[in-house]
Amino acid sequence: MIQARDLSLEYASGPDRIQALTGIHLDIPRGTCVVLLGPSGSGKTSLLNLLGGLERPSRGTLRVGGLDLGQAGDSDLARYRNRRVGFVFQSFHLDGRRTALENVLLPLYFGEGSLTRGRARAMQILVRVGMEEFRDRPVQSLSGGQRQRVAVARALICEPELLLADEPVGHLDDRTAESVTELLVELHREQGLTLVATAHDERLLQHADRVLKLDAGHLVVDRNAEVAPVHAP
Amino acid sequence: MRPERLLRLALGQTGSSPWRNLNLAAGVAISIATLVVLFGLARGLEGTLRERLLGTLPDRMRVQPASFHVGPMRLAESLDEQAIARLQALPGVRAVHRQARLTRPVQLRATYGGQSFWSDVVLEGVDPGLVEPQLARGHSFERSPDGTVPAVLPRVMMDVLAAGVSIHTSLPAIAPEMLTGRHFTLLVGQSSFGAEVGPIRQQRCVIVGISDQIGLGGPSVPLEFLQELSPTPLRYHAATLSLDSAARAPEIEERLRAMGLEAPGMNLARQIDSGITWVRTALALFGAALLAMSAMSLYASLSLQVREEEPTLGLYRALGASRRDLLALYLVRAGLLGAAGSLVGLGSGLLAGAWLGRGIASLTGGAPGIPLALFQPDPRACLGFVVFGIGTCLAAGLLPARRAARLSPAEVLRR
Ligand SMILES: Nc1ncnc2c1ncn2[C@@H]1O[C@H](COP(=O)(O)OP(=O)(O)OP(=O)(O)O)[C@@H](O)[C@H]1O
Ligand SMILES: [Mg+2]
Repeated sequence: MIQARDLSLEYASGPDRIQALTGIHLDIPRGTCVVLLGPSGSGKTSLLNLLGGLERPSRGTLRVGGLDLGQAGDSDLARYRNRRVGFVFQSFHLDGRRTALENVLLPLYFGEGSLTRGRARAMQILVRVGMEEFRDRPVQSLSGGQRQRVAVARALICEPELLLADEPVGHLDDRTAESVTELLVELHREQGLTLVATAHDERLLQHADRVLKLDAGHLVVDRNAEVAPVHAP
Repeated sequence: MRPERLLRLALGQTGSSPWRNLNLAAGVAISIATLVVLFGLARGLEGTLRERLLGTLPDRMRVQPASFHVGPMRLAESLDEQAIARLQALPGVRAVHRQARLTRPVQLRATYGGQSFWSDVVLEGVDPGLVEPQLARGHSFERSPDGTVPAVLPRVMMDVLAAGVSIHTSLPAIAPEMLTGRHFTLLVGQSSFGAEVGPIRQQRCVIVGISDQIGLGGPSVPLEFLQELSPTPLRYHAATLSLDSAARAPEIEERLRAMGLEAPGMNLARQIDSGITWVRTALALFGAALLAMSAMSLYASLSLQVREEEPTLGLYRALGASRRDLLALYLVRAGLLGAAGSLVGLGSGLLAGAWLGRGIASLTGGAPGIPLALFQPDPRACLGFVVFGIGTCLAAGLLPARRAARLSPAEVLRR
């Protein structure tokens, strides 16, 4: 489903060029749970942004489900982000003044599907993530774990095939982190989603089908969790 | 992005900082309202000037012999039958209506509200065609079988009478309809300054209309009756041309000049035109300056809002908004403010103008020359103001909107 060839990403920072990712080769089949490891600044967020169509590769190709993300036009890319990808961020990125339900409904505004059906689906998802009783509460009155559940519900509202989570439990305490991790893993299994998540801790790692490790923009480890480590080409 | 969803999102965002946006819309509204009021009053003024100075029949053109003035002295020829025939022969002239004054003293006597009223007047005789369009319904400009002579009063005299009655007496106000059909007596040869040598003739007259086409010194009667009173053949001090169309006036004026005649109304019309054009231009500049100021604050505020909303915009991009969606979002927000401001401005401008116009009219009481409709908004101009208001706001929103569209979502979300 995901295919990266010689994928590189460079940032221009004033006169300097910062090489965030270099020569990534990657094939990830549909339905895989991938955990992305690496020290701070190694390029994890950069890779997620590329996968999510928020950045374009500086070099190489990246195809997700047949769409060449480097070549797609802005509106195709927008449609890709809307329909096929769900994002979960470390800092939630919810609108605090809106209710949980309104936050979950937001992606529908950028899509074509029926809002009525979307609303019904939002209710179901809120039930699924255990937030149905909070759906009319403004998000700013919710706890961190509750917010992240709302964010997960929002990521799922358009029925994506790819769920991207950038340190989804980074801001949560241990107990809450545990439950949100469980939720993500369960959703991945139930819905056959491809999940790519960055994480600092072991929790998600236990459930990973595949572990990638980045270091200074290079893919240094790419192994199937059950089998012995395989080094990237 | 679907239009109705775009609109809902834009409305939601606009509503999320209500005071700031209300303030911006109010700025636009005040500009538009000011424009509506000023232009409406200017148009009312123009209409008043034209009607009072040029008369209400636009295809008429008053012609008189060229004259020159030395202090209070006016030296002018009069028109003879030959000149009238030449006027009649001009292309584009449908009819020529002659006007002559009696060179004898005349006194008018009437009663109104039980009070007797008299005045020295200048008696004018005119061709019926001059006043026929302005005769009261059911009346004609012909002598009745009992010898009563029809007379038309100049409107200015009506205004003066009305003002005099309303200011100096407790009699009911005079309206034109109340005067038609009333009788008065002319004493030909009689003057407040002493009787003329010779017999005084009394003539009963009936008022058949109010006209702005005739001389201002007194009533006008049929030319043939004036001839009866005059010891000498009549000399015409002026004639009024009925034109095929008002559009031919400049061309005819050219020919008149070649004949040594002048059309004073045309000069007046030109003066009014250039005066009004000047007023309009000044008002338009003033309005544009006002709108530019609202547009600048709109620009500043939207720029600030784009900056404040960057995290939201980054999120929108991540959730599926395209650059075009964000561009459209801010343009719609600017357009909504412009539309709301312009429409409210239009409404309040119309109300304020009507109120102001009535206020001014009531200040002047029944004074002559002031019509009741001082505020005359032009529907097309009003529509233009609204379009202009919305357009200005869209233009002001364009740069902030483009800045929003250019934002890099990854960079914004990283912060
Ligand atoms: N917009 C940008 N402009 C310039 N440099 C950037 C930009 N975004 C990221 N970088 C640089 O690219 C490199 C990779 O950053 P990235 O955020 O992908 O790392 P990360 O692995 O997600 O780190 P962390 O674990 O701290 O989140 C870093 O050196 C970072 O400074
Ligand atoms: Mg990161």
